[in-house]
Amino acid sequence: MSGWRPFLALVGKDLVVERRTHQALATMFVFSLLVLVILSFAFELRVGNAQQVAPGALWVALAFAAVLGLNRSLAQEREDGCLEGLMLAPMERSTIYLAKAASNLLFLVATQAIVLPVFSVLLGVDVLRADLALVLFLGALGLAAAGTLVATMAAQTRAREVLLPVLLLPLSVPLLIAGAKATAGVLDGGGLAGVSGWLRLLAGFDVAWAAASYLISATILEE
Amino acid sequence: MRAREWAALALPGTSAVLMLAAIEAALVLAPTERVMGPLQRIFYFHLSDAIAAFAAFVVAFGASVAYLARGERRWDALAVSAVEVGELFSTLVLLTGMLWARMAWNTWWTWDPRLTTMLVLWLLYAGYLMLRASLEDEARRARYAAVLAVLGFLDVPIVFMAIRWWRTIHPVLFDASGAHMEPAMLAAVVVSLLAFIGLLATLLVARVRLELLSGDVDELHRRLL
Repeated sequence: MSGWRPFLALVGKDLVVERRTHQALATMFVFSLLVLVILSFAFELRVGNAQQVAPGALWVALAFAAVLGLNRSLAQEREDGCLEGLMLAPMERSTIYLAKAASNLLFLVATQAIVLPVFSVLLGVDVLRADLALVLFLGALGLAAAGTLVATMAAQTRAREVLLPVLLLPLSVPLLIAGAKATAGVLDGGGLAGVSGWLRLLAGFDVAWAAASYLISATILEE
Repeated sequence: MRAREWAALALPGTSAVLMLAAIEAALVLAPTERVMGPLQRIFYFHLSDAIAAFAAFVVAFGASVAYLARGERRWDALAVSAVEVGELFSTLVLLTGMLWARMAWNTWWTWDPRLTTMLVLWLLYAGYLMLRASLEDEARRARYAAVLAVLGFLDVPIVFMAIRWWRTIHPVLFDASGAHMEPAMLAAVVVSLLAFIGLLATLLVARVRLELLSGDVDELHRRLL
């Protein structure tokens, strides 16, 4: 097998699993909502204007939901030696990485699509905008690219789920800063042109991590 | 003592002498700074410590690349040793920086690019050590750790750039036009820098030796059982 078929088969497998279990999207959605509610309680006492905390709340919720989804996605491969099975299949090891990253990206974007309307209602800030969608997509792309690689490593350790946030969040600092800053700029009415520097940083992070992870994924998936 | 034992003492001995000289140079010989007074003397150790920490992480990066390329155990031993020693030095950088900041800026902490990058680095390499601690298989531990060290190190410039776009209040002492300080102060900087690099080398040599020995002990243990 070569080309797109194994890749599509692997992504399809993750979608079928999700359709039958509804685990990833449901947990990620409820969890992002919980983060938002908790942040609202935490900030309510001091911050009068929800607009001020909206970008931060949005990105904290997305980053933590991503950690949750990534852990699930890779934990599922560890069960019943699924990953070994995939590694035995006649295809490039990096295809496994690409497919997992692609399905993680799909789940992240789907979560954002469900969460954003609720955010708009609860925070009273209109976050359902095309320009914001681009910022959020670039963020999801970076989290999926870096997160899938780190989660693959974390899933093989004794500490398992605990390790992913500890490893991924420091690495994602540029993404979180750029994402929150770009979101704030867009919400303040500056448009995408006003935050082009942050968008370039986001895109650069995505490209660098996607390329590096793709190249190095075969090293992680040895044996 | 035989020649080899004397040779083993040369590096720690030189470092110890240099460290004493650095203390003398920083606390006694260097002139007192006009604005900050004696307080500024912590700077000699703070700067040298920061450079030693970065040097350690550069060594860890190089050793990790070498491990990924060659797969030899000694490179992994060097990488983990450098990260541990670098983590120690960066802890000291953060602590001396906080002490200084409390007196100079009237705050223990500020989200300045350099401070924040150092903290993120510290967290990143803490993650590295946690990753190692939770992997039992030696080959896999070495490989994953090397991957994380390489990617993490390459991530650092992006982290710094991202944070830099906030404003900075950290002073810049060296730029294209040279060093902005008295000759006696510069001498104290050089001596304390040498002392910290010496300390770094001493700790690294000892730690690598320990790592290799403990690997040997594990190997013997496995063969006996």
